[in-house]
Amino acid sequence: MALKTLVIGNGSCAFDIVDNLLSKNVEVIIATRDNSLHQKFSEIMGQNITEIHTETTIHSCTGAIGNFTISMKNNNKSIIRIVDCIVIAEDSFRKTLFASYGLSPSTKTISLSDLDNPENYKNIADENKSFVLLKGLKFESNPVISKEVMDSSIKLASHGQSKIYILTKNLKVAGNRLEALYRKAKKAGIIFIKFTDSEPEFFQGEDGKTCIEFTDEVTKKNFSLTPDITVVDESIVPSDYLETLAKTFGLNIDCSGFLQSDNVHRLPAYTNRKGIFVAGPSRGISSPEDYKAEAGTAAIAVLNNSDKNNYDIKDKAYINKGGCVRCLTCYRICPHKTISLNSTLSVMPEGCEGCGLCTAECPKNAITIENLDHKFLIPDDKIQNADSASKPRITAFCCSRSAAEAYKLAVSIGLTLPEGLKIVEVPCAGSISLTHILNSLKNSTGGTIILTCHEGNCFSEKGNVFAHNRAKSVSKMISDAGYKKERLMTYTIASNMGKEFSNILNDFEKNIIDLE
Amino acid sequence: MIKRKHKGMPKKNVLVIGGGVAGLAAALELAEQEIGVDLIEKSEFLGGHAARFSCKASGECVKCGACIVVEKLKKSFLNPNIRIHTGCKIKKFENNGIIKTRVDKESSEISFESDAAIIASGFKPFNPVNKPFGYKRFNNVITNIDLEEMLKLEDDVVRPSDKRFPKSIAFIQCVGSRDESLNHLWCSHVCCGSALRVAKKIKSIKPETEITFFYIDVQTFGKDFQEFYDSMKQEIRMVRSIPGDILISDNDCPQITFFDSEKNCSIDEIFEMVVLSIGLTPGEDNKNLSELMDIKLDDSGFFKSGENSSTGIFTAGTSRGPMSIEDAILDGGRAALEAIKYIDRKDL
Ligand SMILES: Cc1cc2nc3c(=O)[nH]c(=O)nc-3n(C[C@H](O)[C@H](O)[C@H](O)COP(=O)(O)OP(=O)(O)OC[C@H]3O[C@@H](n4cnc5c(N)ncnc54)[C@H](O)[C@@H]3O)c2cc1C
Ligand code: SF4
Ligand code: SF4
Ligand code: SF4
Ligand code: SF4
Repeated sequence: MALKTLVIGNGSCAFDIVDNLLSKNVEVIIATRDNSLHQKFSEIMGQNITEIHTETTIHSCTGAIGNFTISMKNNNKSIIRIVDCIVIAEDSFRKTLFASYGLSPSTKTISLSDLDNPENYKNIADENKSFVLLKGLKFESNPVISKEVMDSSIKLASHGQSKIYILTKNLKVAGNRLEALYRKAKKAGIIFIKFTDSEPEFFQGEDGKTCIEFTDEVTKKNFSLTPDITVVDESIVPSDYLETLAKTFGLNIDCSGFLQSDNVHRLPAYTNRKGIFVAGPSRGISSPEDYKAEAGTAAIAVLNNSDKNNYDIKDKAYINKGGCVRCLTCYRICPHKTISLNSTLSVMPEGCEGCGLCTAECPKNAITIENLDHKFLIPDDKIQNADSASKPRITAFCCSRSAAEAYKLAVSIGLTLPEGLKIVEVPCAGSISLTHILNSLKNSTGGTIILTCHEGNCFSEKGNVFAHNRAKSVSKMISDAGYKKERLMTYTIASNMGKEFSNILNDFEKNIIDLE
Repeated sequence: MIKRKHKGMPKKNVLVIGGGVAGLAAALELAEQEIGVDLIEKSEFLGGHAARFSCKASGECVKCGACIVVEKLKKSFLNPNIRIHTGCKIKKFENNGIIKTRVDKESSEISFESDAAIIASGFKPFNPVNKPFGYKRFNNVITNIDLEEMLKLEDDVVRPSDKRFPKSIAFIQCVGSRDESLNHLWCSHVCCGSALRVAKKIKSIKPETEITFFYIDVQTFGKDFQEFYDSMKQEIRMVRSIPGDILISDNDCPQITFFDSEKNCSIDEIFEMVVLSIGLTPGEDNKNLSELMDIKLDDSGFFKSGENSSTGIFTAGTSRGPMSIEDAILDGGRAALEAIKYIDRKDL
């Protein structure tokens, strides 16, 4: 059966994704708020496998990868579709920055998009002589805007204009061939004036012209420019629709509001919810060329991650209905949004990442992950050098994605580790419950150490934070009861740090020995 | 624990040249589509440059991307569709619709037949010995790569001369990048981010360390750049000037001469250690591979961005120009899809 995918968006990136998916015989449904499709789509309109919904918003989404039920609204009509995957590629918006410079738009003070608009470009270029382009003076800019500013200036220069200034703080050239473009602009006679700690001052006259006063940072001379046209740069911001989509789908956003949390585990096209992908202008700021690459990556992510039956049920959470008191804790905290709320609560295994956050947090112990329970019962003979009774027994809870990898690395390069070390690998530190920690303290003669991902690097977003908070409360409990709280420590570590792992554990062992 | 369904031997095969993040990302996506991959790597190890980098978090992840490599490596080793050949050098390459490759491995020869090929042979770090910064002559002048390796392998930052934590460190940016005299008309994209993230890490280990950052322009990196940059400006001294040269002073301390625009004159300043932020230059095999495989290089010496989709040879990652780990992964995925589309077209 053909894969069915919902693509939300109506720009070049969305088009490229649809085109890529169609070439692999994926059935595509396009949904956009706009009242007509971007003209690019006309190339593929004929292909009967594409279903298009314009003036349509997403109302709700239930289910999991391989079986999402999407309810959409078109005016007052409701449309229900079942799809395997969802890709979000809404175009970003441009925000003019007039206000941040204290300027108002006029015929003489225009935005970068006004200048680039082919309809009025010729008039502007013909009728005016001197130009100042402002770039990244109030906020740090990016290579996309940088390229547009330099391209426009070069175009003006080739139009015969000779007085062109670009005023910038950090010139952003970390994009494909932008340094070469910068050299080309300088050769074309464009003057770059760079600011570091100082900033120019702006005054706008009755005629709408902007006067710019500044002190040159190198020569210390004062300058005043009143160009015929002042071009104000823009910032690139996420579509206002993304906030709604994030809520509807239960997706995390980054600090600017783009639809992918700032977490390297989400690269390249993933979100916190399995089967929902994000690309291009919904994911962040990049060049049109990079958006094309992202469209390719998102399409291949759909192809490679839609096999809903490719899992071991023993790795997935299961809610024991008899034990559940419907407190909804699990429903709230599941970072992958895969607990469904009907007459009873249940885990949709296709979307479950087996992180165990729910198992550790359920107040009634009503949730189990079969393979996870076994992992906590490692027999004593797994302890390195079980006969070395002279050394303290150390239990190290290691997140499988970070600390456990760092441990393997330390072993593979032959670094020394405590002799009485027992590694308990857990899918995510968030699965380590209070009971686990207390049991471990009871059973290990030496100490217990919990090693998690660094903050912001947890595959389940906040599993590490849960683990640290639990350890903190146990720590308080045991020190109130007179135990040494040094016997329970927490650290954060990345998967590529073998030496750091060995240092942390050897120091921990030393501290435990000093306690005795 | 993913149960892999065995669908028998893959019917189509792709050759991937280079086992850095870009090559690994491409190989994994292809393998998931049940395409067989012959991944050839000339060194003994997979992972490329990024596998040598350190984590720069100090409790909080700064999204440098270095740890993603571990995950990619693990998945590649587990995937039965990926055949890894390390320590291999390409001897012969023929493309008549079917690509025939012969490689030398130790003293033996191996041959592959593939339906498409992806060049992901990466970059070469700029070698700064000919710059007037005393690299290799002065102990305490090191590169950003040396520093990364020190952090990763020693879990510490020390001066090579006396193994002490340096009290003052200068970072010199754009070494070998944005340099007209070398005809290197590109920015390396990653070294501003790399240096500032390491600087933040050093400040968190020893807050009293005095860090000076010599630069031309600070490039945007990461999603929270504005906030990160604003806070770094409080913690370290930023000097917008690239030093002329470095001499050696007492106690193995490098002495930097630079133009101070505030004082409007040249001044000398002594630091305990200097880190050269060397950039990305075209891979050392680019020329050779370009001739062997008939794929053009651009005027900088990187592989041309435009895809040569008619011959079934694609390029990915930093073989095409400077990019971050994140972008190299994206690019590997894109190249994999291009190769798949090419194979599908050929089948029609
Ligand atoms: C100092 C420094 C710091 C950096 N810090 C960061 C950072 O913090 N964050 C970030 O995102 N990026 C960073 N980067 C960039 C990062 O290193 C690259 O993005 C990444 O390594 C690119 O991967 P790649 O696969 O394209 O190339 P490479 O890592 O160069 O891998 C290429 C592989 O191909 C192999 N190869 C080459 N030629 C052949 C051949 N002929 N046959 C077979 N195999 C071959 C090589 O041995 C190598 O294993 C940094 C770079 C430098 C120099
Ligand atoms: S946390 Fe436990 S008790 Fe609460 S709703 Fe979930 S399964 Fe039921
Ligand atoms: S194990 Fe994790 S992903 Fe699965 S239901 Fe529980 S919290 Fe959600
Ligand atoms: S992304 Fe970088 S800083 Fe973050 S955990 Fe990984 S290696 Fe460390
Ligand atoms: S990233 Fe920064 S240090 Fe590297 S070349 Fe570009 S401007 Fe220079």
